[in-house]
Amino acid sequence: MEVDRDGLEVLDRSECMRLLRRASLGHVGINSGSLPRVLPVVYSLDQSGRILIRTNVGSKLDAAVQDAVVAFEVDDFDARHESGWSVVATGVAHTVDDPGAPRRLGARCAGGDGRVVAITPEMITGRRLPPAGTDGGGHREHP
Amino acid sequence: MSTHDAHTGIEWLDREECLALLAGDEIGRLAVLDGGTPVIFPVNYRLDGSAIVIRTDPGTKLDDGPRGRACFEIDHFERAEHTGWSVVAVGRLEEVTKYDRSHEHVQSLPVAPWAGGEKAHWMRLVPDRITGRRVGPAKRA
Repeated sequence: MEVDRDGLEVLDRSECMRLLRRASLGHVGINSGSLPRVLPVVYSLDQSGRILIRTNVGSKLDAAVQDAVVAFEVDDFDARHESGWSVVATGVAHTVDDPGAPRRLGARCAGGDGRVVAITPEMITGRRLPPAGTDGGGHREHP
Repeated sequence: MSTHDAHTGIEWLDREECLALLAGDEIGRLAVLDGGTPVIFPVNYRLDGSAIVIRTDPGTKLDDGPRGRACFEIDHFERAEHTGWSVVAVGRLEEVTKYDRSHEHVQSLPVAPWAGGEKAHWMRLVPDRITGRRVGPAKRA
């Protein structure tokens, strides 16, 4: 198993996609007028692996994602065991021009006024930190 | 005092409540721009006053962050109940070097990255804007 310089397990693309499919709450990183912003969003993955999120016309998110490169992050951490994983995808976002798209997103992506934005992940990286005391987690030393 | 948007059901949290939520957590997400492209990192942190203190190794956060703008986010959602909150802080990211007056104080903070690596560089995000939102039933005092 590949490990990065911080001792974190490096997840391959298929494991990253599996984790992306499992979760439903993520974070979009945008360049909003030359300022970085990170916003929590509910999302869904379509069959081709695009990340779909609902947004409001005229919102900060809507304005910043028009054919722009965005970052998308999903994670799950367990403070008790100081463990968890994160997946970061980078890709171009664009508005989905399909009236049926909001409906297919389902109830968990309810809200917004019907605009759906799709992010096509071009680069996907993932890391996992196993619970302390398990294999791969024993290198942690707090000063 | 927090304000409630009757149309969306979103409660806007005041600065004091945002700071209390930031003080009660230890892991969040830092976003910086790397040549214009947004990048997100999960980081361990501690709140120091209203500043978010993190430790890092040389890399994007240190190279592009210092004197630059950054955004930090924490949240907690209950998926089953459709409730949750998020806090977003936007401000200036700077390295706390040994020439900084508060260097010693900052280095005494219990910022303990779960990941390995030396993480000898201490950085702080000094927010000029902190916003928070809560969805779902209001918190009972």
